[in-house]
Amino acid sequence: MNPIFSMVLRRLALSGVILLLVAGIVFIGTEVLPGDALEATIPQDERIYYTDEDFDRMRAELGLDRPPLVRFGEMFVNLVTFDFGTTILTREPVIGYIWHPIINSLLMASIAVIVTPLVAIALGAVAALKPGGRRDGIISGVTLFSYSMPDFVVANIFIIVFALQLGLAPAILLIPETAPAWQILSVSVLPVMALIVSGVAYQFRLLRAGMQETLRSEFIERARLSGVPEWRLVLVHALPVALVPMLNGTAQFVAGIVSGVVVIEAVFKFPGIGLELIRAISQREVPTVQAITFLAAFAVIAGNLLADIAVLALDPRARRMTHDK
Amino acid sequence: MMTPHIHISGLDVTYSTDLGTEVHAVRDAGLQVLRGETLGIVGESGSGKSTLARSLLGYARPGARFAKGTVRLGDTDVLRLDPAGLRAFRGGRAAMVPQNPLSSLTPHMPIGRQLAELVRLHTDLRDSAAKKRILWLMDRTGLPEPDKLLARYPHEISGGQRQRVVIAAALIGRPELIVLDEPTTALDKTVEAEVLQLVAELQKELNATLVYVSHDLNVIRAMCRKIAVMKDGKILEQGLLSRVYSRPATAYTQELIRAIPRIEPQGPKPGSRPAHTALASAGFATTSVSFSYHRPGGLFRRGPDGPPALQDITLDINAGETLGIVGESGSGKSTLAGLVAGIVSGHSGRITFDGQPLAGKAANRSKDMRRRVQMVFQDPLSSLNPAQKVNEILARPRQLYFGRSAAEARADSIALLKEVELEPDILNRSARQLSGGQQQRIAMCRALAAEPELLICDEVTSALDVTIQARVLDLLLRIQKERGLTCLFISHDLAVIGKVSHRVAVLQMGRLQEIGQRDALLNAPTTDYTRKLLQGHRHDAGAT
Amino acid sequence: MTSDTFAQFRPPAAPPAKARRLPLPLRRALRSPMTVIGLVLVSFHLLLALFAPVIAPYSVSAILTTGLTPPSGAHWLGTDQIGRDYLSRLMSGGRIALLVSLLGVFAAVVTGAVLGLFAGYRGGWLDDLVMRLTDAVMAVPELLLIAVLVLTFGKEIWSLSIVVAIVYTPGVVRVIRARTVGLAAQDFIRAAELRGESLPRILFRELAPNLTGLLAVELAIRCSSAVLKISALSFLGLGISQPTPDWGLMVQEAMTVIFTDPWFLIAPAIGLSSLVIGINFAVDGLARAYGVSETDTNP
Repeated sequence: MNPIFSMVLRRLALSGVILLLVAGIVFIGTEVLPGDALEATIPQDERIYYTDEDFDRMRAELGLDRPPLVRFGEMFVNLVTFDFGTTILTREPVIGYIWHPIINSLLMASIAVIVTPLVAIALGAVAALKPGGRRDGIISGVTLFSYSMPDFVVANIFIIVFALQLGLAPAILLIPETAPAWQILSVSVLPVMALIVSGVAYQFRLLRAGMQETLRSEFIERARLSGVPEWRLVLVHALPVALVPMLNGTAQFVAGIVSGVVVIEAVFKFPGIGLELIRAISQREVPTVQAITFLAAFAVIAGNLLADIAVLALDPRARRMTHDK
Repeated sequence: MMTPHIHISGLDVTYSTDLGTEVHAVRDAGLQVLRGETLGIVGESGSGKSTLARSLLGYARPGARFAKGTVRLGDTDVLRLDPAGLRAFRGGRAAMVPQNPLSSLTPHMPIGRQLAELVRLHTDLRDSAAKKRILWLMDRTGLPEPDKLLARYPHEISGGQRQRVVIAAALIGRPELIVLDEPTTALDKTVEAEVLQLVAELQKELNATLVYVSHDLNVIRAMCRKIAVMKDGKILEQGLLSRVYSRPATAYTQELIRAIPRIEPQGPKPGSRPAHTALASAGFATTSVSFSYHRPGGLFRRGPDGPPALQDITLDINAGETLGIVGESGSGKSTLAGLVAGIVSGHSGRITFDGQPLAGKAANRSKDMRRRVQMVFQDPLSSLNPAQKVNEILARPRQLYFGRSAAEARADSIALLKEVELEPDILNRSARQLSGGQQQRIAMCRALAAEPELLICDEVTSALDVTIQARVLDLLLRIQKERGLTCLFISHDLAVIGKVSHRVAVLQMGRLQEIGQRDALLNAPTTDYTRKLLQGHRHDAGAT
Repeated sequence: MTSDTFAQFRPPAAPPAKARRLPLPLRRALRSPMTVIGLVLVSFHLLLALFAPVIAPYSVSAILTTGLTPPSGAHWLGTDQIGRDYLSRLMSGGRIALLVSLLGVFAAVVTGAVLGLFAGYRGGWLDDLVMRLTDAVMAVPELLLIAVLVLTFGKEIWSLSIVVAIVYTPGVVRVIRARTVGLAAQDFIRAAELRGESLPRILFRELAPNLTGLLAVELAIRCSSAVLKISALSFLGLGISQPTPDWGLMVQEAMTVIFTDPWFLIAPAIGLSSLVIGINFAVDGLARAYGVSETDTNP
C-alpha cells in the first residue's frame, strides 16, 4: 500500500500546482489583459459618468492600485481558502450570491456524475459482447448522434416531447433557489436526463475504444482459448483494463458536465450556479465570475484525482509507472 | 494403420481486408498426427503457421473465418462444435500455450485467481481440492514459493516464471492436445532450454499430442519427431523430421535448413582483415565506460541513477575487423552500441575513435566524426521514417555529408541499392510497402551512404526470418570485406556472432565476461557463463 | 546470390501509380456510408455558409412583416418576431460560428502541433511545464473559459477566433505530444540524431509528416466542438448578438414561442445539429481510416 499512498500524495501535490496555475489563468483572463477588474465591471459606454479621480479612488478602495503579483497572491490565498470576497459595485459578499445555487447545481450534477458512467459501462458491456454486431452498431450510431447534438437542443427536445406532448414534466421550473433539496430533486428529472445524454456518449465512446483495444489483446485470446465464457471475458478480464481510457477522460467528462449544467440550467431556468454565472457575466461582476470559474476547475481537478486513484486500483501495472501517463 | 488423433483436411482459413478482398491465411491444408506424437510446424512470418495451429482449437482470429475443410481431434469435429461445446473443448481436451507470456496473462488478476478460474471451469475440484491441484501444477512446472507467487500480478514475476504459469494453466484440464505457438521466442536462450525440457517431460507424462509452432528449426528439432513446413499459407511438405532434414523435398525446405545459424568454431573466416594496410591499427576505436540510466524523477527534477547498465567496459576494435558482442537481454549490449554511436549519453569514462576522443552526444561531435561512425538498428521498420520515401531516406546522408544535389544523390542511391542487391524502383516506395529484409537493406544503405569507417550493427537480423537473416548476413560480410569496414556487431545469438566476427566479447549484466579471438572463445570458453550460452545453442541443435 | 532470388520475397505488388486516385486511407473511409453522409453534410454547410447571402431570398436584416407570421408562399419558413424572413436568417445562421471555429481551431492546431512536437521530443522540465499549463487550462470547462475570455476580449469575429484558439490549443498540445513521445522513441529519430540533424529538422521534417492524419482528425474534432461551444455561448446570450443571425441565438429567441410555434426552434436546431453531426460522422470515418483511435485523441 505504501507506494500507492505516496503516488496519491504526489498526485495531490500536482493538483495543488494545477490549481495555482488555474488561479493564474482566471486572474489573467479577468483582470490583467485588457484592463483591470474595475474596467471590466464598468462597460465602455458607462465610463463617461465617472471622472479619472473617481476611478483612482475606487481602485485604491478595491486595492487594484497594488502591483498585479501582490493582487494575484491575495486572490489565490482567498480562493483556496474559499473566501470569495465581495462584489465590486454593491460590496456584498460573493458567497451570499453563490451558496444556494451551488447546492442546487451539485444536487443535479452529482446524480448525473453517478448515473452517467453506469449507463456508459452497461452500454459498453452490451456492445462488447458482440463487437461489430447489430447491437454494437446501433449503440455506437446512436451515441455518435447524441454526442453531436448541442445540449441546449437536446434539452429543448425533451421539453417539447415530455412537457408539451406528453405533459409529464413542467417545461420551465418556477422554483426558488432556497427550496429544500427534495423539491429541487423532484424537478431535476428532465435536466438530469438532458445532462446525461452527451456525457454518456462521450464516456461510451472512450470505453468502446478501450474495449476494442483490450478485446484484441493477447490475454483475452489466451483466456478465450482456455474456454473462459464470453461474459466473463468481457466483464472480468477485459472491463477493468478497458475502463482506463474512460477514467483518463474524467477531467474532460466533469468539465463537460459543468458546461452542460450552465446550458441546461439556462434552458429550464433551474436556480443553480449556471444561471448565477450567466447573470454575473452579463452584469460583469468579476469576483463572482472568478469564484465560480475557480470552483468549476476545482471540481474538474477533484474528479480527475479520484479517477487517477481508481486507475491505480484497477490496474496494478499503473502502480509501478510513476511517470506521467 | 491407426486412426489419426489430429486430422485436418482441405482447410482454408481466409480473412477479409479493409478494401473488401478475401485473402487466404491457410490454403488447402491437410495434416494427420497420431496420439502422443510431436509435430513441429515451421515457417516464416506470414506463412500461416499460427493460424493453422489456432484452427486446432476451432479458433480463427477476429476478421478471419474457416472457409472450408474439417479439423478433427479424435472423433470430434472441432469446427462444428457449438459455443458451449467449444468452451469445454478449449482448455479441456485441447490447450494452447501462446507466444508472449507477459501480454498473455490478464494484467489485473493475480496469478492464483487466473489459475483458479480455469480449475473451476475444467474440473470438478473445488476449494481445498482445487487449491491442491494448483499447488501440484506449480510444483510440477518448477515454480518456486507457490503461496507467494499466487498472490503476485503477472508483471511482478520473471519472464521464465510467466511462461511456466501459462504452461501450468494449459495443463489444468489434462489436455490430450497441447499446441505451443513460439512459446520461447520472448525468452533468453538459457531460460528457453529449461522451458523446452519441461514441456517435453509433461508431454510424455500426459501422453498428449504436441503441436509446436516455431520459426526456429533448431527448437523444432529438439522437440519434435514430425515436421510440417509451411509457406504462404500452404503446407509444402510434412513427414518425419529426420527424413525432411536429410532429404528435403522442396527447394524452400533446403534453403530453410541451410539458413539455420550454427556455431561452427572452425567455420570460414569472415571478410579477411586487411591487417597490413595503412589503415590497420590496433585500437582504432576504444571504449572504457560505465553507464547508468536515470530513474524517473519528480515534477521538476531528475531522478537518482539506476543500477549500472554498464560497469567499466574496456574494449578496443581494430581497424577493418568485426568485433562481435554477445549477451542476453539486460546485458547492456545495446546501451554500449548507443554510447559509441552517440545516441545514448551520460557515461563516465572515455570513447576514442581513430586516436581522437568521441563526445558523448552525437550533436557534440564534428560533422565528419558523425559521418565516420554509422549505425544499423534492430527493428528495420522503426528505423525508417514511415512518412518518407526510400529516395528521401537514402538521399539525406549524401546531401548532408557530401553536399550532393538531389539528382546526384539519387544516382548514388541507385548505386548503393545495387550493392545490397535491390532494384532502383524501390526508391519510390515508402518503408511500410517493403518486406522486413528489404527494410533492413535500406537501413544498411542509409548507413553506407555516409561512407562510414565504423559500422555499428545492433541486433540487425533478430527481427528477420531465418532465410532472410542468412542473406542479410552474407551481404554484410561481403560489404564489410569490400569496403574494409570496421564493425561493432551486436547480437544475442552466438551463432550469428560466430558467423561474422573476428573477435568476440561476452557481456553479462553490464559486465564484460570475456573477450577473445572467435575460434578460441567458441572452442575453449574460459568462463562458466560463456559455456552456458554455448550449451543453450548445443541444446537447440539437438543430438543428431 | 542474384537479385532475382529476392523477387519472390517481395510483398504483393503495390497497385501501379495510375490506378491510385485517392490516398488509400481516404478510399477506405469512403466505403462507410456514415462517412459519406458526413462529408455530404459538411460540404453542404460549407457551400451554404459561403453562398448564403447570394442565394437567400431576402436580406437577413430586412423587416418585411409586422411581427411573427407562419410559413407562406412568400416566406417559406415565415417571419420572426421582428418580421424578418426566417429562411434567409436560417441560411446564414451558421456562418459566424463556422468562420470563428475554423479560424480559431486552425490557429490552435498549428500552435498546438508546434508546442506538442517540442514538448514531446525534448521532454524534461520544459515538457513538465507545458503539460501542467495544459492541465490548468483544461481544468476550466471550455464553455466557462470561453465565456470568461469573451468578457475581456469582446465579441468581434477576430476576438472570438483568438478565444477559440486559446481554449483549444492545450487539447491539441496533449494529443500531439502523446503521439510524438511514441514516435520520438523510434529508431529513425535515433538515426537522425546520429546524423546530427538540427532540432527544427527533426521536429518538422522527421516527426511532423507522421502526424498529418492525426492533425486532420484533430482539426475536425475541435471544429465541431468549437461550433457547439460558440453556439451555446450565443444561446446563453453571451456571444454573437442581434441583429446577426445565429442558430444558437435563434433557438434562444424561439424558446418564448415554443408552446405556439415550435417550428421556429426546431429549424435552427436542425441547422446546427446537422452541421455538427456531419463533421463528427466525417471525422469518425477519417479517424478509422487513419488508424486514429478515440484513445489517441483523449490522451
